[in-house]
Amino acid sequence: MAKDCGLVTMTNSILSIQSVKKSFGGLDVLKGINLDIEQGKITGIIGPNGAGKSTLFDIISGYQKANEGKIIFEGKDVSALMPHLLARQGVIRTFQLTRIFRNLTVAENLLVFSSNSKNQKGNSNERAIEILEFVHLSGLANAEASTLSYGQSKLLEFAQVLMHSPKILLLDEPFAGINPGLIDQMMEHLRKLQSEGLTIVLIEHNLPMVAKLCDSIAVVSNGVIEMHGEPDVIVNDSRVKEVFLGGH
Amino acid sequence: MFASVLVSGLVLGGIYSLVGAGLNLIFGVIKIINFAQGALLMFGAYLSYWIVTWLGIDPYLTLPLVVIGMALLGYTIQTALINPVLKQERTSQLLITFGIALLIQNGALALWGPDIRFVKSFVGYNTFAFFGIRIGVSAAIAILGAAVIISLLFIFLNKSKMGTAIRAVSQQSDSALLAGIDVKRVYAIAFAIGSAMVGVASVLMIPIYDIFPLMGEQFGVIAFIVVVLGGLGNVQGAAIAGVFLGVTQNIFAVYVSNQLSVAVLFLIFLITLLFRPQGIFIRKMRVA
Amino acid sequence: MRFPKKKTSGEPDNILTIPGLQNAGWPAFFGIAIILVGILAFPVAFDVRFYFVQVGILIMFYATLGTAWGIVGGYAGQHSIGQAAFVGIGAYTSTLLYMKLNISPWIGLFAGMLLAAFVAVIIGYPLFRYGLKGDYFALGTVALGLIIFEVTTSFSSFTGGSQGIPLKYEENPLNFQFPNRTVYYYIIFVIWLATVITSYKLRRSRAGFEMLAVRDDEIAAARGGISVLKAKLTAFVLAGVISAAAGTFFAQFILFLDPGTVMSLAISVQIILVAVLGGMNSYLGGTLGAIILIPVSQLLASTFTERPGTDLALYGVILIILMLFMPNGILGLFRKSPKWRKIVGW
Repeated sequence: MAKDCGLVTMTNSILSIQSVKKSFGGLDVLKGINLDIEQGKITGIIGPNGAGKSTLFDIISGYQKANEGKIIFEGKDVSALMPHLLARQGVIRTFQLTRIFRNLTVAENLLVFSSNSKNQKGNSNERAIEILEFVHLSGLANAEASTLSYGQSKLLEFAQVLMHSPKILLLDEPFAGINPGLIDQMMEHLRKLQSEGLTIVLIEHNLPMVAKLCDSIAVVSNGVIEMHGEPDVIVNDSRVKEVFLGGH
Repeated sequence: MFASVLVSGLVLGGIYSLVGAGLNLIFGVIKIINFAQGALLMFGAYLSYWIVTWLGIDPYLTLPLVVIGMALLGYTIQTALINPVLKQERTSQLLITFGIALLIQNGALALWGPDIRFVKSFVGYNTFAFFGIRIGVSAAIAILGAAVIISLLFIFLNKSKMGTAIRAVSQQSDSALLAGIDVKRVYAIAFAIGSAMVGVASVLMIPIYDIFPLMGEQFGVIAFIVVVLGGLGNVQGAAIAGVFLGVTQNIFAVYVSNQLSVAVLFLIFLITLLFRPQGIFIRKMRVA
Repeated sequence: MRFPKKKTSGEPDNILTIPGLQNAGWPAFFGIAIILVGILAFPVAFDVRFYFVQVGILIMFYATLGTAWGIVGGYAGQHSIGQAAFVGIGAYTSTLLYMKLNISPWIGLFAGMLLAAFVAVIIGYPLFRYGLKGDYFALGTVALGLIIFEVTTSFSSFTGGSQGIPLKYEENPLNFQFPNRTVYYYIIFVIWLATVITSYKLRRSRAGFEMLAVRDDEIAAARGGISVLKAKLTAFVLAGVISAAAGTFFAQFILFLDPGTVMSLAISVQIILVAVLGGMNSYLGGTLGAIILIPVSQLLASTFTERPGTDLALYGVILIILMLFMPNGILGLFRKSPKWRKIVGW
């Protein structure tokens, strides 16, 4: 039932979700998701609450196993991989509810993820410092993460994912609860990263924001991709407008 | 001969079911490991013993007092000691019930000494014939009593308003909170009921078993096996599991080795933990 | 991925403070040196009665066990309740090898550590693999502790059962026995120091960070490429191995072995209490807890001899109070201050 609105030419699909189905108990959450994510582009995923967007992220990143279907990343079938293995392949995600290491300092939150190879120990400190400056958290480097405000912890999580040099970033509602000035900054960062080759997929409820940022938008509803196309087309679709009415 | 082994296994199983069902309730609702369950059993037994000693009444007649006393104790423990640490990391909850267990158990040891005590009820050691099998009256009372209480618990959880609230909290405490249920109070009531059930078990037990400070230790740990084996939140499961374990243990003790009979249960426990496919394994996210 | 580089003055940036004594400065170094010298000199310096040396041995013994517990319970967040099982494994392995096969306990020491590692993997792998909620791990260790206790007591023909095994007394250093009992003090000192240094280094290592991350949020740790299973298992094995080594030492020291002495629940309780009182997340926690608790327990044991159980009941009270008001232990009170974190290492 996936409709193709507008023209989205798949030149280079880095992530391919094929016929993924997932149910919990008796509830069918995902009823057959087919989605190709184009490399180097920013794809937005929107949909009503409970449509299964986060579940889809869980399945892509290995936290849940699909009942049916496959996840193909860079040409390899990764459906069965555990989350940490997928992370090492470069699939990094964030969570709706910010997840950081509360009892470690801000700096340690990043150092935990310094590169796996042993001889880069010196570099990892440098890199952590760079990233902390990038997200304007340098002053709090030695503060315990539990003392951060909501916005700061979201930034910290963002900094953590940057430590990994991800190949694809899955962001689950990254802008929720952040003040607009900060949102603009984060969007700047995302665009900068994209220009360096990063693929980004994000779930968001704020329709205008998604339209501004994304190269293409997929609409998840009733457990399937109802539409997938360019922002102008999607945003002006009458059904979408009806459901979202200007966003969150 | 086998029949009598079976009967005493059923008695043991009945006790396990009661203690286990109480623990199941606590574990399922409040989501904490209550290490003090066995100690509470012992406390109930001593409570009944002292009432018998001071008032001279029959042990079975202490039931209402013990149940009320244990319920109050449980309510207090939850409200004063456990509710405050619920927001903290998991350590505190685990270790605090452990501390409570240590206190109750060794407090009893320190205060009342290690001597074994016992009570005698009016039924004494009478037996009666049941389809040709000799059963002790006290054994029959224990088995029947356990069955009745477990059934009452089941009815309570499913048909009463508070029971429904308890089930709501055990499944989704956040939603229950939003629905206006006083979650902390439900926790306290769950702990109270869990303790009361242990109180019933202790009253049913003491005409048959000896009373001593460490008597509860074994039951406390086996209660966890009952919970794991029977399935979280599953009252009927707890009943079946308890009976199964009691009968198994007794048969093993008589026919193979008394010493190892308890170890066998722990082995069943470890095996269950490792291979039981549902219930405790349903997690939101797989990680390891 | 490149970030806009800020021009620095050529000095390496110092904004990151990982707990580390080298950043703590000279006063800390002197302090540590003085303390270590003091410990070493204690038995010989003031002609102290051996009783006090023995208390010192007991303190370092529990400090070792508490620090080991801190690795699995504090760093990795997995609360092992039946840790005494590993102490028992170490003690019985070396003793049985010595008594039955005449193998020197020095070798038995390593055999015990190996067996402990094996058991830890066997038990830990399934418990961690399926990602059971952390509580089930705790229960699993209780079961482990009780099973090992029961099994040891039951196979009495082999293990001496509940009556225990008196060890052969051959005053031969090659057999881990010394005529001068003070030597044991120095041996446990080495074991203790090695454990504390291990814990310290672990905290600052990649493996240690991974354990801490797993403790704080497994899901976020996995998202970052950390193998949750490996982190937990490593911690559990390490703690078990250290505990086994301490167990062997203890058997050789008291020259008598029975289940109640080395693997009872009371021992597990004391280990946990020592670790939690001091502060389970610090490499110094176990040591501090032991320094406070062991003399207290000695006092209790001698005062309330007619009332057995008083000490454990008191432990229960202490545990409750700690959990209500000071769940991070004494050293945890300092964790907000970056200066102290350097020394205490949180």
